[in-house]
Amino acid sequence: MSDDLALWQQTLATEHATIWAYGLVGATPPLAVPADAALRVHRDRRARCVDQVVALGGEPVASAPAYDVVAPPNSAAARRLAASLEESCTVAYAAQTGANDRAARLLAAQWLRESAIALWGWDGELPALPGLE
Amino acid sequence: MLARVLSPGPAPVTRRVLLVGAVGIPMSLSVTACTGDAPVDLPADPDREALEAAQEVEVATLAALEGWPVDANDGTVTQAEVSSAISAHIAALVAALSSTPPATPSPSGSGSYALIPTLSTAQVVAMLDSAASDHTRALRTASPEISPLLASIAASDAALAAAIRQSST
Repeated sequence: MSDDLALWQQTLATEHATIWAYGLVGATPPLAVPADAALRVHRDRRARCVDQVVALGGEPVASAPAYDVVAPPNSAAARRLAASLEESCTVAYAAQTGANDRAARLLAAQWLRESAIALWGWDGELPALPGLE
Repeated sequence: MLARVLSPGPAPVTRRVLLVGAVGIPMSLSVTACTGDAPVDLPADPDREALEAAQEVEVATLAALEGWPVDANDGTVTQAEVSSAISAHIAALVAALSSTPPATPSPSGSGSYALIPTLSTAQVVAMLDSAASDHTRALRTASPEISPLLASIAASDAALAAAIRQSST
């Protein structure tokens, strides 16, 4: 079970970073609306991660004060940033599909599918095996 | 830098970039069916291009499975079972592309296919959606070692289906 806790913590840390960086995407016109939609999705996932970590007896990792991400200068760069965020999430979700808990695996698979589709939506490209590289 | 901040880094698997954005662009193709070795010239057909892309994903996946480390069967899905399921999926994709079965199989069991664009976009999307669902269902019993790969395949199929669905509207 400790392995599952570590996986949830890793996913939670990824969600913290993703939510922080999506703020930069949303600040770039005209991406405020799609970025806000993505933010809602990841905030929900972050809350789910916190619940799971607590349920497993862990102390949820905290968000860093800031992350080493350059603010995108235009919408094209912002879309690339958003795609890279989703790609990072697919890596975390793919790792979590290896959890011992079946429900965690299925949830991670669902998030992986959704994130892969979001990645394609932002960038127009898709790894053959999302999250595995 | 972003990767350093965000990436948790699971098991490595060969990465290929699938240019989904190319779906829908008419062009002439020369391909080899995944179970055969004879190149076949194809006329332009966006649906078939999409299916070809899906097929490539599955072939790459099967190749990845060949080397996937899996422990002894403890009541969960084994590597061989997953390989068999994906092989069947590849065969279904090839069959959908084919109007006739292989006429003269090669000694290795492979064969060339007469490829006719008979699939609609909706059929391709339905096929990919179904494949994604199948792979996800398999996650319920798959061993943790296989789970990431199955989930990734499902994600590929679902994303490709979404791309095709959008490109056709």
